[in-house]
Amino acid sequence: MAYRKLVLGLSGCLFVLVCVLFLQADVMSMISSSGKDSGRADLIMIQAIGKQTTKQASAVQFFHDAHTEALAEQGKDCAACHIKDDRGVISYKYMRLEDPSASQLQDLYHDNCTACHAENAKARMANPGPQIGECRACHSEPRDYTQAWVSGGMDNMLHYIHWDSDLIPKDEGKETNCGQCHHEYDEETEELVYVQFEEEGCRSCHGASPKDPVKSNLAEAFHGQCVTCHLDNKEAEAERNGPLDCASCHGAPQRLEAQVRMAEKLEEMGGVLPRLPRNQPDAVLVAAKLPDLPEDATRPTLMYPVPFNHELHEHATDTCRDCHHETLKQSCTDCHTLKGSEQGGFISLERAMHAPDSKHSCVGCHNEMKQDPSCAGCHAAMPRGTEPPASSCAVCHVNPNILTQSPAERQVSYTDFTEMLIPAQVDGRQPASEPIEIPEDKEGRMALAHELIINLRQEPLLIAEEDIPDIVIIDVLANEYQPAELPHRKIVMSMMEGMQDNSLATAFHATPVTMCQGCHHNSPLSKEPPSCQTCHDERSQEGRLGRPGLLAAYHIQCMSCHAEMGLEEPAATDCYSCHKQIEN
Amino acid sequence: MKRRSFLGLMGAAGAGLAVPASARAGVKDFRGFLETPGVLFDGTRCIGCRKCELACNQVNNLPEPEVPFDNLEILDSRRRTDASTFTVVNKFETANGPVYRKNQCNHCLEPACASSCFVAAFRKNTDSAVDYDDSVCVGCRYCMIACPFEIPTYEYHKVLTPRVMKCTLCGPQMRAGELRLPGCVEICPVEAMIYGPRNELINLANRRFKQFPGRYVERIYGEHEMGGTSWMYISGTPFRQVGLREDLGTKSAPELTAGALAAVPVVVAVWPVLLGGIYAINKRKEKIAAQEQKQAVAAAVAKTKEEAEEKLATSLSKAEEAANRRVDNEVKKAVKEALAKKEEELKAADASKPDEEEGK
Ligand code: SF4
Ligand code: SF4
Repeated sequence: MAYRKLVLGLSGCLFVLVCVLFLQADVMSMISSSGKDSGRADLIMIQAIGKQTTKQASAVQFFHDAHTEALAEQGKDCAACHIKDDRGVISYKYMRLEDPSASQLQDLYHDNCTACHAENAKARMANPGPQIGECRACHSEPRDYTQAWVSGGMDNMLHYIHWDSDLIPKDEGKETNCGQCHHEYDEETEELVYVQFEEEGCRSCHGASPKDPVKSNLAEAFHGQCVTCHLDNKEAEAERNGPLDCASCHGAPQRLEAQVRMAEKLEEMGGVLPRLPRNQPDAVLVAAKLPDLPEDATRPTLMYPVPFNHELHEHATDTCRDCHHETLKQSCTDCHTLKGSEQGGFISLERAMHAPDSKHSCVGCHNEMKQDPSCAGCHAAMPRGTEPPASSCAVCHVNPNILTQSPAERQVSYTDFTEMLIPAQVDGRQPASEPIEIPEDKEGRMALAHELIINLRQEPLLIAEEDIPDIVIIDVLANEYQPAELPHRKIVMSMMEGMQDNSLATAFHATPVTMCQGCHHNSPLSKEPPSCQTCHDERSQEGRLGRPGLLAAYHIQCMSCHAEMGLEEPAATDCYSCHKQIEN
Repeated sequence: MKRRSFLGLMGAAGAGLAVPASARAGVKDFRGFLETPGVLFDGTRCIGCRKCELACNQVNNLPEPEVPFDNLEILDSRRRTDASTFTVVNKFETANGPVYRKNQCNHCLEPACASSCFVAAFRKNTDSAVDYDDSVCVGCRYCMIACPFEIPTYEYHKVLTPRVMKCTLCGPQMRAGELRLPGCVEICPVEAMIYGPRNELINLANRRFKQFPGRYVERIYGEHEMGGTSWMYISGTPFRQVGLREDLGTKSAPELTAGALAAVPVVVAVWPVLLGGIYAINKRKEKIAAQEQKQAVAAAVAKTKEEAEEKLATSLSKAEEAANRRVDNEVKKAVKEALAKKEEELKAADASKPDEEEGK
């Protein structure tokens, strides 16, 4: 199921939205530009005194959207307050390209703001804005509002809307329009140029403060780029021009609404976005880079390489940045080395891929996906340690030699996963012979990864249906209720159905009985797992502290699974829906 | 000590000085029995089935409740413990659906109820239960004021032998070997409560925090509150949202009240309760008393009303019976008269037509 994560995220947002709408309707108005409450996305504090040595007046609370709206009513737009540079890019700053001295800045605001307000008064507008002499109207304390804005990120859907748009002109001689936004700095010509297939995210150059030769910080870069284009479109009276106010991108409720709209659009498109036209690889072979070692050194423990399905993961993430956090031009292993490097924040390759709580790591992201209700029934109940289970290593780390084996040879036993890991070193000191040859060149690695990926299983595994016990009778409460009849096979089959299209589950449920572990936990993988009574007995709690007794084990398992999967019926307190009442 | 003599003493001299030596044991500085048992309540497990309330009621032979235990609608209103209910489960609505929390005596390691009691009616037992001895209780109800969790309640409806009532941790039953676990713990279908050595429960809770990141507010309520309690809580919802006070601090009641007056051995814990806030205490006591008295009165009124109604009903039915009887009798009489009349008529007819009769 491609895009599950996005859908999951969006349904989360939807849920929040519903909560906001129903429980806390006033939160909506709180951030909306016309609301009376305190948090606003368009609040800007004008604080020229930040540059002054003595305090002269309190900072001005400026409501950007209120001004945008008022100007629009007069037929004016951003140009009334913002000027464009020689490249036609609109300045993020008020009435200037660069910051002058503090006193000049003060004059700039005073002259221009009051001039406009005075004009308004002359035109007999109902609310012309504070006039000269009404200092306190702008420089007011105490403040009733706070700035509340969310970062307006460019996710895959928003990105798609842009690169698919006919309103944005195509690059010269190309079928794509990427060059209208993406650029690089050419050091020789000292110019911004566009290089196809080398596109980077804005953040890779524009940081919180610009570093030579980059001229603008991230906010300036985004606003210059986006607002200029939206404004141009508006002036050209294009059918759509994109937002020109603050709240549409930075207001929390507005963004939620936008996400809901986009989720609908995605659904209309069949749930899958077209791939970005950047020539990115379909498959990548992820393998650690061996450091330069002296002749007689012990080779560090290595894992088999990971054939990574890049295409599949593109559909499952919100943005490229989810994995490629800094730049798209380096591979993960450049910064995340075996031991960690300064460039990679001293996060070793192993951590970068396996940290269970990181949003960027493989394991962290997979863990997040387990919150999907169809997975959470089993997975929420499983203790999450700091490490993924050892048995799952071989799912990703594949010995390329399997390509030379016949399918029969490739059969994995239910219990032995270690056979697919790189063989241990002979005496722990001498380098073991390199078991496999990994191609050095990009194409060769891509081809090998691709071959390994198409060899992967496509269908979820399950033992034969008739081997799954049909009805299981649970009669530990026989003196109070009639025995409960657990529709065992029906439950198993409906869960299998739920994960039919889930490639993550298909890959990681590595044996036909892995799924059984959802309930039959802690016992060896087997078609006939030991009964619950084996571990959950009725001794006093003190004797088995922390391990539920039989009665609680059943109840906790069934009820928490139902809760996590969002099954509302039967209610946990409706005893008779599972246990028939004893007839007197 | 009986109430009257106690009140007399109160008026005559400082109460603390009058406390007999035997009573002082109750106010001594409890260091807590850390290895002793406790109960850990896991709010993420409780399903709000009220089975624990049922078990508590049965184990302690408490009167049958007004609302039966299988009625879960009662969870919609917030309840507290009372003289015939040692534990209640309350429902708290949250953004992620309802959560439930059981409430009962927390069996503090250094109980405020005990330290405020002049006569040492309360005692922290080695099996963790805070025991109450009604034979020495004078009914001053300072324990009710002292308990930060508002647990002890009073049998207002009993005129002669009112007792302070609260959860006993099933201490008596367990000591007698009748129970293996506190009744509520034993019955809980999902083991929302675990009974075991207190330090191991703390380890267990920490283990759960680690194994299920994000599920819990990673703190154990009662580990340190008021110097620690034998009954502890973990929760997925902030404690305040499930009705647990978070303003109690970590000092126990005796510790809080020790201070400058510690030099006066007998009154270590007593004086501050008396002097420190007698006004506030009285106010609160009056409030609670008034409230509970009101309830008691209401109950009594209801009872009288019920009795009156019953009486009326019986007399009415009796009257009806009588009326019915009268009607019956009337009817019988009428029938009898009618029959007699008929008979007479027949006789008269007989006399006039004797032949006919014979001819039949
Ligand atoms: S909770 Fe209240 S009644 Fe129970 S031991 Fe603590 S102070 Fe005493
Ligand atoms: S018996 Fe257990 S699950 Fe039921 S209400 Fe009591 S504590 Fe909660």
